[in-house]
This record gives sequence, C-alpha cells and structure tokens, in this order.
Amino acid sequence: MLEAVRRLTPHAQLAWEAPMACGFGACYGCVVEIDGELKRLCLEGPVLAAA
Amino acid sequence: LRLLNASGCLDALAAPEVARTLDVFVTKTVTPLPREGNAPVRIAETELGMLNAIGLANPGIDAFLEQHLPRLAELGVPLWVSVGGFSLEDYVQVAGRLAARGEVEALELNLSCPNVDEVPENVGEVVAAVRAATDKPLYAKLSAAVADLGATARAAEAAGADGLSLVNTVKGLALDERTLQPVLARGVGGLSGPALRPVALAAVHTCFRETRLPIVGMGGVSRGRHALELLAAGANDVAVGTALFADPGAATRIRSELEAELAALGFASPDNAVGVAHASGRVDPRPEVEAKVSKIPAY
Repeated sequence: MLEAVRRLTPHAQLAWEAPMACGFGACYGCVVEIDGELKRLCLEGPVLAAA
Repeated sequence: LRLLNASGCLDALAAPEVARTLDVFVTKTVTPLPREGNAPVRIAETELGMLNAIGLANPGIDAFLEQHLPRLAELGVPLWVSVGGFSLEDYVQVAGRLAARGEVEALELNLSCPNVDEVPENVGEVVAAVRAATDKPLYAKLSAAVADLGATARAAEAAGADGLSLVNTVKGLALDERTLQPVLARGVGGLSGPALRPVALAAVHTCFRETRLPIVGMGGVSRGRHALELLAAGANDVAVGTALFADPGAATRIRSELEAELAALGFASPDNAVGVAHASGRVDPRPEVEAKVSKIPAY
C-alpha cells in the first residue's frame, strides 16, 4: 500500500513498519529500501519522505 | 572474567553508555568492502529466540578505519574487531589493515556467519593466513553446527589462534502464519537467544576438553546463572548478545547476578568456577589438557 501511495504522491511522508530488534541502530534489522538505499527505521524513520 | 557483547548486537557509537558497561566491546563484522547487507525483512521472532539475516552490513575497512575506529577508541573500552570476508584474502586484508592499530586489542575472526552465501571452508587455513598477517590476539568464532566441533577447534588451535568465541548462531527458519512463506527475505537466518543456550554450553564443554585455548562463551545469556554455567562448562569470559536488544542494562545486571550466584556456591572468584563441570570424566589425552582439568577442584 505504501508503494502505491508513493507512486501517487511522491511528496508524501510515509510511516513505515518493520520488525525491530534493538531499536537504537545497532542491529540493522529494521531497514527498508527507499530509492535503492536501505534506511534504518529506528534511527532514520519511522517517517520517511516517500521519494 | 570479562563481559563482552556478541558481535553485531551492539553499536557502541549509537549507545556508548551501554558499551561502557562491558569489559570489552566487539564490533560488528568488518569486511574489505562496504556492504548494505541482505534485503529486508531481516528479523523474525520465534518462540525461544530470534532469527536474523542481516548479511554482514558494514562500512568496509576503509571507512571503518577512518570514521569509526577513532571514535570507538574514545570510549575507553578495550576494543576487539570482528573480521569477516568471503575468501582467505579478505580476512588477511582486513586483519592486515588493523595490525598496526594500537586502538585494537584483539581480532575475532567471524568464520561462521550463517547469512552469506560464500563462507570459508577451512578454518585452519584462514587462521593460519591471518596469523601470518598480524601479531594481535586472534579469537576464532565458530559455529556449533559442524560435524565435529572438536576437530574444528583443534584446527584453529594448531593454526595459531589464541582463543575461541563460542558460539555463532545456527540456521533457523520462520514461516509466516498466514502465507506459510519464509518471514525473512533470505529464507533462513541465524537463530539466537534462549534456544541457543544449550547448544553453546555443549560447544564450550567440548572445546574445553579438546583444546587449551581460552574460550569466550556466548549464546542465550540473559542472567547471571547462564554466565555461571558457561564458566562451569569451560568458558573464561562471557558475551551477551540478543539479551542486549531487550535490555540495554543486561551486562550490569548479569554481572551482579553472577557475583551472587558465585557467592552462594562458595566460589571466591569467577576463575575458580571455570571448568568445574569437568571435575570428573574423560578428557583429551594430551597432557596439557589433562593438566588443565586436573587443576579444577572437585566440587
């Protein structure tokens, strides 16, 4: 669904979800791919620019 | 006894106050080139532990030396660097770049990552090649998921390792409740947490009997009693991994719980508890190993 929103409104800010182990940047578990780059949701998210 | 973190379970720059609760900080594995790691999803919960398939995400040795190491040195905590790679040359290259860095106390060779496709086949060859590239103490981090762990540990010892880190995760699989498809994008991942603890105990127990090497025991440690049992099986030091995710204060708590456990059983120091699980029974017939076990008081 977030992918669809991103296509419709590239300027949106999207709240992402991912399983998170440590929550403070240590484990690299909660990454999502944004424009080909992996972002840690715990540090860089959970709200990220759609594109 | 030193309390360490298991490699990859703590970022000392993101949480310096947690790193300062440890006697040694161990970095996430460093490889020659930067790696983004595997595609998400990378984490899954299971009944008795968790699965991860991060895939050795790290900045690469160049950025590590320039940006990370100077800041890690400022923490004032002794530093071990976990060294990884996909070929013998990779290990030698990373270890060689670290050899002259005084900030680094020791190297841990990650010889057992379950989350990459190409893993080194011959532990002895890798240890021997790295041994020639550095004078730093070398700890070989091994997986218990091998046919003959004792033989692997002896190969590491013969090749010049100074210690063993036991154990790495073992492969596990979690399936989505609805779709029955693997939760992790990679499929299988490394299982850690409570499920790993008996596996770790067995591995430490085996390697204590089969080598003379000091052992860092790890796998599912979340309480003082768990640390005590690893000491009894033969570990000299203990590392905390998955427990740090849920409880950043785990190391401090485990240390004080361990002191109480030791006192309750009449051990004057942690060192006195090392290997007590071996007070009777057969050991490696080599005299030096027999001598090690014979010094353990009956308990």
